[in-house]
Amino acid sequence: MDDQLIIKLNNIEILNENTFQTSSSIYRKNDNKHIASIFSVKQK
Amino acid sequence: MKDLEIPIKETGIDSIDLVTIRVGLEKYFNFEVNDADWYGFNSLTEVLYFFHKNKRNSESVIDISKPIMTERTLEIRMPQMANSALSENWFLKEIGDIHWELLSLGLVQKSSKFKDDVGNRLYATFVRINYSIRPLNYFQENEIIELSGEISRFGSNTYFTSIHGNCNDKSIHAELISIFAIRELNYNSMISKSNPQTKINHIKQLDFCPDILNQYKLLKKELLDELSFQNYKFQLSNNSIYSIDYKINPYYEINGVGLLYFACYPIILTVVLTLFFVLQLN
Repeated sequence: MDDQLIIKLNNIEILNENTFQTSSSIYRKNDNKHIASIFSVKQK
Repeated sequence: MKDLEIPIKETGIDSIDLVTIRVGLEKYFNFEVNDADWYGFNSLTEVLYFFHKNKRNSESVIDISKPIMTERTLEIRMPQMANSALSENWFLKEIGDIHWELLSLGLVQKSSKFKDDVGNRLYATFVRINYSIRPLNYFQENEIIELSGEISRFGSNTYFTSIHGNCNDKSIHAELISIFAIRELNYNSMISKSNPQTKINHIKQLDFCPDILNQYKLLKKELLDELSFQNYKFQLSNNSIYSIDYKINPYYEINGVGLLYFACYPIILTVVLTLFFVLQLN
């Protein structure tokens, strides 16, 4: 119930005025184990 | 044949070649080798002996492949929405559920009955999900979403669902890969790969390794410098430009079997991005 994560924003890149992309990673805090990588493009 | 007994590290075969050999053998012998076994091999002779030995075990499954597909038609109502837009959390749960439904259809078992050969409960664990969807606020209440999915497999452990859909003029595409895993000693922190104990598997075997799976394997082994998706390229780096500690909310971020729900990842990311942008503005 008390599990914590560390969320790291690895990179953010603005592609144009309406669009940006990000790379981020999720780790479990108690042993620093990498859980997931998220690569995302967001558009308005 | 003597050459096959040379220690692999002395053969000059590099890491990418080894992944290619591994994928080729898994495809030919129709099952996957786990990392612990793979990294324990000292020579190609040991690799080939292992695959030949285990091939016989995998032949006992009745493999009557047929297309395993499903279609869903849904109206966008409140459960499907969040803040005047389509809920990304709902969408991910829906496509995840399509994958689980297709697994059940293909293995002719309810998901709660998935077990390995010693009776451990198996969990279909997502290892990679790709999806593209128009901006969520383009989706309106009472519009109809149509989704269709088809599942295939690579060996007996890796399952791949392709989903296509539309909502008026908005198209939706998703690809999901899962492997079967068990919880060791019932701890969430100790999860390892295992295979379903099933006599029937209708899910068609791919005769090629899909790009999404190849790329995942290379990514996991840190053999990629860059990841491509559609026309976008992501430089891979462990650098961190911003970091936060995040406390899991067990009431909606833990799934029905007690594991962190992948469907909450975009929300967590949005929280982090919002904090990052606020920091930049200040």
